[in-house]
Amino acid sequence: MLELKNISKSYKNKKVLVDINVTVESGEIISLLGPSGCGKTTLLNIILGLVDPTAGQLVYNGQDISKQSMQERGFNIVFQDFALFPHLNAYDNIIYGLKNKNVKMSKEEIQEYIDFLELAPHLHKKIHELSGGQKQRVSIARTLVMQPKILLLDEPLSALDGVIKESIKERIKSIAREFNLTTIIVTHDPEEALTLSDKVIIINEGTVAQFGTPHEIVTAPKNKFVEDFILRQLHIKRHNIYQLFGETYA
Amino acid sequence: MLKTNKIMKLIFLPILLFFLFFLIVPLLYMFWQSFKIGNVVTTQNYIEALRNIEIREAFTNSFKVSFVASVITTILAFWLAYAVHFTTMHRHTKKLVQIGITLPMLLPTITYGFVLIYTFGNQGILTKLVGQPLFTIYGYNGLVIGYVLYTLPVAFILMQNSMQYIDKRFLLVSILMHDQPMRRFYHTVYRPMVGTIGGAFILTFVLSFTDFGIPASVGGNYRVIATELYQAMLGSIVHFERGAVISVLMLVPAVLGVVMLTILERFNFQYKQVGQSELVKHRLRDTLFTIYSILCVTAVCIIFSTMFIVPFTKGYPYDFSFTLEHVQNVLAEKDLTKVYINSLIVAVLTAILGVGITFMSALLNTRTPLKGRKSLDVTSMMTNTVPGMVLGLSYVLFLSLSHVISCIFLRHLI
Repeated sequence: MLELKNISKSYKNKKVLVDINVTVESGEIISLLGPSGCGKTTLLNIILGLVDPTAGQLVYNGQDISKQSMQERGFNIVFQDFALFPHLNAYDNIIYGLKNKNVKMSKEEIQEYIDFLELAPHLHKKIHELSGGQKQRVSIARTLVMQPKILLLDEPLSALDGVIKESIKERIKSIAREFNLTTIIVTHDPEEALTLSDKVIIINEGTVAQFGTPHEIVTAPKNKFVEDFILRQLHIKRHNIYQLFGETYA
Repeated sequence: MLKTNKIMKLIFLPILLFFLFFLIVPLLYMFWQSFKIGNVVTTQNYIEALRNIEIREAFTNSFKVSFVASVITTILAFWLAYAVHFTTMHRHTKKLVQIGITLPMLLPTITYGFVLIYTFGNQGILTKLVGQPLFTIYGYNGLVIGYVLYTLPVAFILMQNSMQYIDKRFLLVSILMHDQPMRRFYHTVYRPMVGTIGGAFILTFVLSFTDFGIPASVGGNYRVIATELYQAMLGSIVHFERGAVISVLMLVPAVLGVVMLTILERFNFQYKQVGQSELVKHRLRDTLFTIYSILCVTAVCIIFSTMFIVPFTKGYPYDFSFTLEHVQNVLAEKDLTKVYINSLIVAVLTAILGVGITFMSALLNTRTPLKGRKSLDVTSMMTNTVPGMVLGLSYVLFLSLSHVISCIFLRHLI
């Protein structure tokens, strides 16, 4: 269980995050949703340990981790553009972090991750020979073998094209289930957030506009921002799709 | 489409002819001359030159001193660039490094030698301050210091340009993967830089190997190949053939350099995009690099500052009081201003012509499907590595100018 208590962040005079209070249960998929510049990436970096909050506390399973370094926290992140080492092949990227661990992971265990992400045919390819979806999976595998306590994903779908998006979405869901892994995703796309996650944190101008399940957000938007910004987008999308296929299609 | 094709060819042809007549043919002609004695074609010149102990000694000396200088320069430049791009030292310090290290590049190499004499020479400022010479500046020491000063800006620019395009987020990945510092350094900085490090080393080596200005001023009795060439061509007896042979010998490292550069190319990779990430602060590292950077910049500044102090002293090195006398005297000389203006004209014309040709070549090379456009790659690499003095000599041979004119021409080129 991860608790964010009164997290605030300001750079000089600019307030980026104000008084964020959220509790994430273990094994949940949580989305941080909001327009660009709302502070969601800063919040992700604070959880990761890259950025120190100006005020507030982070508590993980009852323990205050606010002062812990990135390594001590043991969370891990998958970057938007994957950040795979270009001079190593797919397999060497996957096992990159394992070489630093004291407790060695067995070949079979590594193979399990590889099979789960269907990467077996691509292991000896160079990074530039992989497709976007394959890179994404290698990047996820590299992070998963480190057995992070919390998995952070920064805009995991934005670099992928349409068809792969849906399959990666399913993949993320199954990872969270399979490994009972708390997963926090940053996204600016309401559809992505609401269809992918158990709970959504909508952030606007550094504050939480609403925190709830997708169902709660759609049926009971808490304020005008959620209605105007988040729901309107979905309505327009629905309208466009209905226009394409006709009302009866739904 | 047809019309643009014609225009492309119309531009390409003069460029090609230019390089042919002013680069390829003179060099080939010189190569040919090096095999001739009178009208006989023979390898005698080479055998003689290689038998000549002085030339052999000069060649190995050149090799040794250039090698040492380029190892030092490459290491210094690497860590300076590292300080700028991979530490969180103060941005003013970073700016200081970027300016302080590259500024001396604008000076001709012969001033490097004089500046060294003014600073470390028997009557130099530092020598005066310490009371006795720290070491003899003439010979090996002076050459190494001179070459390092001369090539540091170029190596630094290469390195820092390359580091700019390294994706800094890999540092973050490396931290999250629990890398130890050595492994982090290898995968996030060293490995992406290997190609550039090699390139910088080769370039500084070739620059040092072929430089003439520094050995001319601080070489002392230490023979290097560049001064041998000068003596062969401008000594009391002119040996054209020997000059040609030495020139060809001077081209050897350049040719090897080009070959090695193409091999190094394989180690290079490009990041698809360059992510910016906040560098993690590290007090000790930043302090150490700040000290290192300031030391380097101060050393460069102290050495070159003499150049700005000496002209304003009454009777260097005996009387350090301020005067404008020398400056006024020099400015009053008609000849000097004339020469100065001449140099300006030549420089401006060179700049205009050079930029024009390179721009056109680059445009043709990357934006057109013209046949044979890749030949421009080779010529550009050649111009980069062929020493100016060798090229000058090849002109002299090629154009068969009279001895007197050729001397003036050669002097001018240097």
